[in-house]
Order: sequence, then C-alpha cells, then structure tokens
Amino acid sequence: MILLYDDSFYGLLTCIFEHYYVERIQEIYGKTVFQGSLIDETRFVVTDEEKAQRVERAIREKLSYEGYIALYRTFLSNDYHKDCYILKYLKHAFKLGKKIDQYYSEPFVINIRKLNRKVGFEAHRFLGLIRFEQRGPFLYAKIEPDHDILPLIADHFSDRLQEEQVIIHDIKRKKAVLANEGRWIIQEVSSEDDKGIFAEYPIDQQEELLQKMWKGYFEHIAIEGRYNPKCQQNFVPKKYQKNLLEFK
Amino acid sequence: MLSEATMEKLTVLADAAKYDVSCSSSGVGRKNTGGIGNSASCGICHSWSADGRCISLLKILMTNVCAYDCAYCVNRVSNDVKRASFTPEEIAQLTIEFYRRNYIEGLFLSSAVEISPNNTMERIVKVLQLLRRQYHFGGYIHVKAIPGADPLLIKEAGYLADRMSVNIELATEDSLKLLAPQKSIEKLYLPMQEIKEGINHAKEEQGIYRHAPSFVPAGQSTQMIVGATVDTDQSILFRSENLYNHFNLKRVYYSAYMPVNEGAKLPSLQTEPPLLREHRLYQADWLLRFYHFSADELLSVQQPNLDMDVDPKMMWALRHLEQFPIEINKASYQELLRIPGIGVTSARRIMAQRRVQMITYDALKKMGVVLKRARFFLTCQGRYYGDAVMNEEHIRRQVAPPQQHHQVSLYELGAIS
Repeated sequence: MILLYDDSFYGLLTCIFEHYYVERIQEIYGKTVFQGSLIDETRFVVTDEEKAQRVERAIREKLSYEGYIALYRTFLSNDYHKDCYILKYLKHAFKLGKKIDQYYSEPFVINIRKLNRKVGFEAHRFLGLIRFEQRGPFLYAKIEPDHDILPLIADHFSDRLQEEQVIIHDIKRKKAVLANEGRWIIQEVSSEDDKGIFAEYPIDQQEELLQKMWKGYFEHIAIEGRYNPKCQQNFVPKKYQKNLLEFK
Repeated sequence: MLSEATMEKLTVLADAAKYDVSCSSSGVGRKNTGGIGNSASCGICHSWSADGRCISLLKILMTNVCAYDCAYCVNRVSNDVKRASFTPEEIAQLTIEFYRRNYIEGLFLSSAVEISPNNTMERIVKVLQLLRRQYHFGGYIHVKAIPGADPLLIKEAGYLADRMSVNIELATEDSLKLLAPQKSIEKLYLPMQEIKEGINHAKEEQGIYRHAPSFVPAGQSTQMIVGATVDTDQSILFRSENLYNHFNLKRVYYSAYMPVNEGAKLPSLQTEPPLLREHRLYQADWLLRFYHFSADELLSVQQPNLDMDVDPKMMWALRHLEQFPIEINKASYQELLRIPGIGVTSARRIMAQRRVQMITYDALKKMGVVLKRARFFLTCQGRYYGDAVMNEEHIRRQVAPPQQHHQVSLYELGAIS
C-alpha cells in the first residue's frame, strides 16, 4: 500500500501513525510529486494534527530532539524517496531506540544522514549566499535553493536584522519569509520575482552606489597571483550565482 | 551618507589589505542584543573571490600610509602606491550598510602604522566604539593589535572586538632582521602576551561574576609568510607549536609569499607562490591541533621540510611502518587518528559503531574512511587489505600523485641526442 499526503510535515507524521495503527504500508509520497503507475494501490491520508503529535512525541521521547530535527530536515529535502527513507528509518528506530545512530554503515541510517547533511549544508550556505536589496522600507532577497530551506534560515535573519522589514523570497517554491521585530512567518507569494511586488519601490541611488561598492570590493580583494576560478566555483556553484550580486 | 569618494578609498584599501589571510568569523555565538547583528559560532562565509578564498568579513586597512619599510610588504613607505585613509565614521557606516545587505559577516580592520603605533591603535579603538556603542552592532569584529601600542588601548580594543591578531610574518629572528629590521620578535610577542593575559583575566572573572564582560572571545591569531626567506618548514612549524602552547592561539595562518616588491633580499618578482608548500603546512598545522601530533614527530634537523608528494600524516606513517598495521576493531581513539585516511569524524564514527556492531571492511568505506590511503595501514577483523608487500617504496607508488608528463619539444630532444 502506498500512502499519499498533503506535503506538510504533520501529513507525513499522520501517515506514519497509519502504518502502526491502521495497516502496514510500504511507501509514502507527497501527493504533488507522486509519479505512480496504474497498478499501484494508493490512498490519500488526511492530515490529523492529534495523530501527528502523538508520533512527534514518540520520536522525541524514544529518539532525541536532534533525531527529530534530523527527520524534519530530511523532510525538507527535494529527494523523491525522502518519505520512504523516513518511514524505513522509523521502523528500525522504534525497535533500536537511541542506539540507532551508532549504526553508521546501515543504509537506513546512511540515507537519512545524507539527506539531513545535504539540507543542513545548503541551509548553512544560504546564511551567507543571500543578498538583500533596499526596496523602500524593505530588505528584499530572492533565492532558488534546491531544498525547502526557508524554515531553517528564518530564525537567523529575523534575529540578526530585528529592526528591519525583511523579505526572503524563494522564487522556485513561490513562498517567502516575512520577518520584523524578531518574529517571522512564511507566506505563499504568487509572483515569481520582485517585479510584481516592488513596482512602486525601484532601486534608489544610495542602493546603486552600495551595490557598486560591493562589486568593486569583490574584485579588488582577490589576489591576481592566486587566480583559481575552479576553486571559486566549487564553493559557489553556478546554480547559486545568478542570484548573487557580485557574480551577475 | 556614503559617496563616490568612499568607493575610491574602498578599492585602494581593500587592495592593500588582501594579503592578510585570516578570514574566519567563527568562535563566538551571540544573539542580537537589541541593535543590528548577531554572531554564529560556526562562522559564515558570504562569498568566494576569484582566487578561491572565502569572503566573510569586510577586510580593509584603516590607512595604507605607513612609516615602516618592511621589504616584503606592498604598503612599505618606499613603495610608490596610491595611498588613502578612512575616517572611523566611514568605516562604521560602510560596515553597517554591507552587513544589512548580508554581504559580510562583520569587519576585519587592520592598518598601516601612520604616525605612531598609539595613534593608529587609537583610531582602531574609535571604530570599535562607534560600531559597538553607537550602532549597537552585534556582528563579528576582528582587529589588529598594533605592536608598540599602549597596553591600555589594546585592553580597550579587546573588550569590544571578537578576535585580535598580531602578524609575526617571519618565523625566525634572523629573517626579521633581514626583511623587517624595524621589528623584533620580543616587540611582536608583547601585545600577544597582553591579549593572552586579558583573556585569562576575563575568564577568571566570568567564573565569579556571570555577567563579567568577555575579552577577545574568539581568541587571537597570527600569520606567517612562507617562502620569502630561507626558513625551513621545521622552523615555521616549531614556531607555530610554540605559539599554540604559549599564547593559546586559535589559529596560525600561512601565506605563500607573493612577490609584490623588488629587492636584493627578496625572491625575484617572477617567483611562483609556493602554494603546495603552504597547503602542506596547513595540513601539518591540523595535525598539531586536532590529531595529537607534536612538531618534532614530523620534522627534525635531518628532515627539515615536509614531503611535497604525500601529506604530512602519510609522511609520518611511512617513516613509522613498524607501528602498523592497526586493528580497527581494537585500536584506541588516539591510535585510529594516526592512520592516514582516517580523520577525526571517521575515528569518532568507528568508536561509536564498535559499541553496537563489529566493523567490516565494507563498513569502513560507508563511514567515510579514505581507503585509498588507509588500507595499507589497518587490519579489519584480522585481515590486511593492502598489497602483498608492506614497504615504503610500494605504498608511496600507490598513493603519490603520478608524475606529470609533458610533450617533449624538439629542442629538448636535441639536448638528449
């Protein structure tokens, strides 16, 4: 049996609940990404907050808070099989308990570890690889990360820029973090770039000068004798460069 | 308001500062305290320049007008370069504006010595005060301690900055005499000693009063040039070890000498920077700090330089084959760390998994052990996975990079026949 859910984390946890209390399941997929064949037996599971919270509590008690976070991060990845990996991991984890993470060479641990690392790494990368523009009263940035990292980076920026009105726009997933005074929310945004929202706030002179300064600084800080573009590209892959001011 | 004139200065003073290697923004975790900025203890890189080095901090000089004439330095008084000076207010504004846009993680402020060490240090402290007290800036700040400045000024800076550094640049007294005759090791050690004492003092106070202010919480660092003089790797690495042990330094940076000046005492302008040697020194430095090695295990008077073909740990292992192979399932953590191809992470994983499961050879690969190097030095459940012979010659052939081949030109052929 394959379960489908509404792409929310609690939806996934509800599916896990179904596995233990309703029927054995083999696979889980988000309903928007699922590519099944006709012979697959599928069922859509309606998210149930109460059931999900029971699973959440179980994970946090039987594993650890860190283990719970690792699963959440895995859930944020764009891997097609992420939900199946989480299911498999939890089947073992509820038997083995906290010890599970010491099984470094078992595939059910390795898969989670890998995705957790990938998502965590990208989130960390984006703490640096975001460039804000002053647009009227807002600091606006657009990003196109591989994984859905907005919930992982929001805390950092909302704490750092408490006195600002910050917008971080994930144009791939059409949603944005809005942060102000140390609080933040994630909201759906219909437009794919800054044109729609910011037509009334063009880039002003001071902003232009600062952008020029940063580009100038970026050029001058490199040592010509150590020129090494390949090394540079390893750290800043091409896919991130299009949204970075200094690489445009 | 920032203007085009500031832009001009920025390019000049960034150019002048780029030979400083340090870029890290790590070591301090701090929440925003009601202004702008916080600090992540892991450090955050914001971009990478065309030379592949990370840009984390806005790295600039306060001024490049210098009274000293150190032979290796691009800013020496006898050089004909464009000179410029920032005002403290300009630096503070620039830092805040860059920081708001997430271009940078904080400020790295160094300076040439313009009038006197005291005058320069005073201006650095002025910037610190502006940023911390007026702008309530909570981001990362790294400043230089100017040798010869008053201890009170260094103390004031230490309570406001996150990291401080004094560059000793040359590893031996002789080299200093040759290239920077106005400096001496004792004079350079003095501010380091002051910073170390400040840190210790603040730590003691924090033990008694919970809210006692911290002093240079991210520690101090320094840098040494590699390849400007005849200094061997041994003298450089021994100097580093000494600095780590005596001044509790967080980092020693190495910078391959880039010939920027002409001079009788210097390598010629055509010299390529010794990048590989720099890399090997960093590897050796890591062995000192994370692998429980000491400098005299790696280098001696008979073998004063690191091996360029293989990394320092491999070099050490090849000289001590009698200590290998080591059984993965029995070795202690310290012993595991000595095996080439096993790092801190994989050693920890091995220790953890051993508690629940025997480790097989296949498992090693999945844990991230580099078997290309490690297989010659370990046994797994009693079995050796290297080749039939275990001698230096053979292992070296397997792990060293292949010789670079190049197309022979007709002239070379002529020379052979």
